[in-house]
Amino acid sequence: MRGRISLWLVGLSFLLLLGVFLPSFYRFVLTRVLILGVFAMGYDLVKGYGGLVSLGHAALFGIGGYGLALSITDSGVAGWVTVLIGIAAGLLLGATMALLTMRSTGIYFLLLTLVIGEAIFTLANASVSVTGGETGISRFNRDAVWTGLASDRAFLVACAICAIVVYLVLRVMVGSPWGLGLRGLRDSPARLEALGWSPGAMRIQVFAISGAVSAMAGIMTALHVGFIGPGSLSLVNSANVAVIAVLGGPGTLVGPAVAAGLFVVANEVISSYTTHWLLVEGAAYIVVMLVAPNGVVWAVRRRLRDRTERRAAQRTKVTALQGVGR
Amino acid sequence: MSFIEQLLVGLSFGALLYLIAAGLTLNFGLMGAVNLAHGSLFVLGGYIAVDAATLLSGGPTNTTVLGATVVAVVVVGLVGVALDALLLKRLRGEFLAQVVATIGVALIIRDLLITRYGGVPLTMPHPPFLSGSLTLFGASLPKVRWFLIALGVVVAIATEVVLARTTIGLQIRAAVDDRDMARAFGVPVDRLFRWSFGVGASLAAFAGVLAGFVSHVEPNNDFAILILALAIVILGGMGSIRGAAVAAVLVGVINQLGIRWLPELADFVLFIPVIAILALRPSGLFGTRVTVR
Repeated sequence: MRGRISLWLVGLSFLLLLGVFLPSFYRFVLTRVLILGVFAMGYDLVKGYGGLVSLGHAALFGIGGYGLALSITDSGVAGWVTVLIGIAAGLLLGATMALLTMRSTGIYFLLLTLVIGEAIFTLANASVSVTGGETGISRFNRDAVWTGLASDRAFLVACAICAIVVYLVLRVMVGSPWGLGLRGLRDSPARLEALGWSPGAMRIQVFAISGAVSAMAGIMTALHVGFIGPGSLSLVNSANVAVIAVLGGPGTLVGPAVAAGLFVVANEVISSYTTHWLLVEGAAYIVVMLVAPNGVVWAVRRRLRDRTERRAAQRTKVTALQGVGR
Repeated sequence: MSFIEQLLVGLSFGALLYLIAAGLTLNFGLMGAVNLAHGSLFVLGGYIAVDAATLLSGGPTNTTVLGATVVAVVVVGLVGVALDALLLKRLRGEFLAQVVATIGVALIIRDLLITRYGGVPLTMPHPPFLSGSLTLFGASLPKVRWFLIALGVVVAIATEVVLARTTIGLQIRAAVDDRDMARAFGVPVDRLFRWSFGVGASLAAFAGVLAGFVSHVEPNNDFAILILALAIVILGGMGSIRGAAVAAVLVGVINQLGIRWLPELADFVLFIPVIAILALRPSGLFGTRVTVR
């Protein structure tokens, strides 16, 4: 396990080196990859480990960005505190979402998170005087948070550090006894409760943490493009991260992060050829769900294993027949 | 506008939402199917009707508008049947897959609509028999609003009668209660579902045409209307058509009260009671918990 982590770290640092020295467009894409990677890991904690299928995560993502943007533009708070405000907003909204959905499971849970997410989206759209409505907020700069972040290169490095820290922290968490309990929440809440854990408290904790991580990604996005709008809170954003988790293999952290990278690259490449990104995105949703609704990575792995097993079985059969012939 | 008039406007909006939610809730009850492209079928209906109306005529006469409506309702109904045959059939019982794949369908429909119509809101020409306003019981409303209320009542009663008095209704009720047992007794559950899905899509398209009369059709309305319909479905208890009717009236009226008292936040106000009720009663007001198999 340790070996694998260091392998990932080496790979990531290599990408980073590449990114720092590459032309600005690639830096832009790489920064997006890292940010979406953080969001995907935050989502995976809830879906992959906790087994809670949420379709309201865009609200957690967006509220981070809005928290930062509003506190930067509308008050005299010190730069780095605005980041904390964004994270705290995500944490609180996450916990609130868990509280509101406490009694729901399965499809009811999914739809209720969707409705809550859409409520936040509507709120941001409607309260024009505070959030700018559809126009969003764009009157802030990265150097308002910290002057060191002004250059794109520095920001890329900061995002990378952020992604690595988030990964390591989440890795430690899912490896801890708490992380085992989390898997219990996914596999059998009843048994978890019988063992003396509280599934309800667990839900609140995991949603709060996931909310904080998702908000972090929203903050990074807001800082990256210098803008936050209601699009960040949209249902499509929630669905994207769910599809990314499924694509990369839920319950692995690394898988969804890598899938997030693929998603961003595909988005950039396809958008440079055609304006029909929505069409491609929609088709991708359908294909992923038809092929492997539980995780594309798992389906591929299972198929590969089946094939090797079949080959092995065939080989033994052949030798056995040869034995008979003799 | 007087308070009563505003309540009636809310009621007409509720009737519109009921047309959309009825199919959605029936599909859930029958097959545990969740179709998040339902709002797109609503928008699609509106656009097809606008197109058909311009193709059919020089001016909006009663016949052309009626013809355009029929075209929209039939075409979208067939789209719905195709959607089930090609996609949802393969995803039975996998609710995350259904939800995400139908969001995919919604995105595709939105992209196609934006490409074809350029994303601008279009208005549907009023047919002569629905233009102007009408004063009933001292309340003066546009005729379209009265029509919507009447239509909502008619559809609600018709659904009740079909469900309570016909063989198909009996089969549907049996399948909603226990799908496997109904199958064992020879109820063709899958075929039933395909047609109910088609009828649900048609109703959504019809609502889309009517929304074109009341305000306008717009590609980005798909998710906005879908969320309202979904809220109604969960609020009424998933699978309960009667619950959906009550919830639709509730949501329509609350929406109007929001517009009256908190105009800026009207769209948001709606969510507060909905989320509060669902937090306390996850299976809705009239719902018995339907297990998703």
